[in-house]
Amino acid sequence: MEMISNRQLVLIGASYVMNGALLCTMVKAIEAGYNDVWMAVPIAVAAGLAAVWMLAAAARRFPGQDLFEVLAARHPVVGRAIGFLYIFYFFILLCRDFRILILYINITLLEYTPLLIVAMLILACAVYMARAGLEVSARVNEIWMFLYVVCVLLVPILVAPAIHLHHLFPMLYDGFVPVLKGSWFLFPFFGDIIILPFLIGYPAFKLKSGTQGLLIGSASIFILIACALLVLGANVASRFTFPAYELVRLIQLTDFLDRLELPLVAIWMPTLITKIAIGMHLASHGFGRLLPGLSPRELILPFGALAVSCSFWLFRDLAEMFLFNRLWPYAAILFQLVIPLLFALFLRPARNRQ
Amino acid sequence: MNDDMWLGIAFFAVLFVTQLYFQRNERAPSKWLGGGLIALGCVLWVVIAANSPGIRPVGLIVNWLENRIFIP
Repeated sequence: MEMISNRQLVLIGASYVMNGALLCTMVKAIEAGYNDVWMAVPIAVAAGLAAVWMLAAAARRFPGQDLFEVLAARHPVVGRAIGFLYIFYFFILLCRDFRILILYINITLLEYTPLLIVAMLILACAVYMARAGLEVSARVNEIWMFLYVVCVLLVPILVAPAIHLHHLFPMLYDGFVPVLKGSWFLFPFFGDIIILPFLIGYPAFKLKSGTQGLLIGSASIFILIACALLVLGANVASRFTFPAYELVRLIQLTDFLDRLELPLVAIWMPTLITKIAIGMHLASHGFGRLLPGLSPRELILPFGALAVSCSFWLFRDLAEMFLFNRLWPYAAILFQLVIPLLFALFLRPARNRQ
Repeated sequence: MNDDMWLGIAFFAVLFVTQLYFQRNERAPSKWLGGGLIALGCVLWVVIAANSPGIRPVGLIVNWLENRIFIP
């Protein structure tokens, strides 16, 4: 059995929460919540916390087993069906991350490189990492996420000269509905923290580790959204495809140290590639748990290859990705709130019959 | 897009051969399930590359749902 430390698990959770929201939904949330979108973050966090609490309650009853294992052992037919549904859900997350990273690289860095070449390079990195096991991915993630969180904490200091407080006013001009709309777009991404109990069971995953991961990831998003609002203003920030990237492009230290976005991207990108590797590990690990005759390690490459195709098939362009994000909260309600609630209520160990 | 199609087919062929012959396989079902998934990926790739604008599953689903449920 693979062992990862509590800190590594927390940082995997933080990476899942932060990386998806950073590229996929930040602009939609700003568009919906406008200059009050920062208030939407705590509401979305509350939904994520509810999901973590329900899953932690279910996982605590089965020490040493992840949720795939529990589902297969406890309810062989229905449990396996739910397990496969979750594999499908995690696979869609994997495709989404793959596609948004390829699109991001294509739009901002390598405009003329064929998309498939970019996809192959990402796939090669992620497959090597995932085949080495969860421990290796967790260690890589620990290094890069730590650096990334430090960078996020530095962003407000580095953009301080460009901050304009008047961008936050007038507050709640259109009432509270835009804030709720902003949180509607954010909560499915914060709820991605639910992957943790499927990766590793209690006591490695518990309420505390899930909450810490969620809070670190959502705090990073809060800082970036607040800085984007304060520096760019909601009007401008909502018109960029990647507002966080545009924000860090504004960082300029003295007259000769500029283009600091490139080192920041160089620190952030490995966190997303590691997230993709963990996504592949999760899908193959789930298959291995639900169908014990299969070897999860051998399924990592095929899942990666299928994810490349499906990512292009599902999301033809960025517009389709944003369209998908409008619908995604409905799927998130099912997978992050309804099914975990059923787990918390009904998933219990079998009683010993004497 | 045609170039992309052939590049994609070559890419999936390399992965398929790797999966079936160069990977240290511990369990036969994983080998063949893996090969099947790669083949499915290749078929999808050819479909996307050959008929790119016509296939929009997400767009179709969202358009279909738009009039049935509330989507903010």
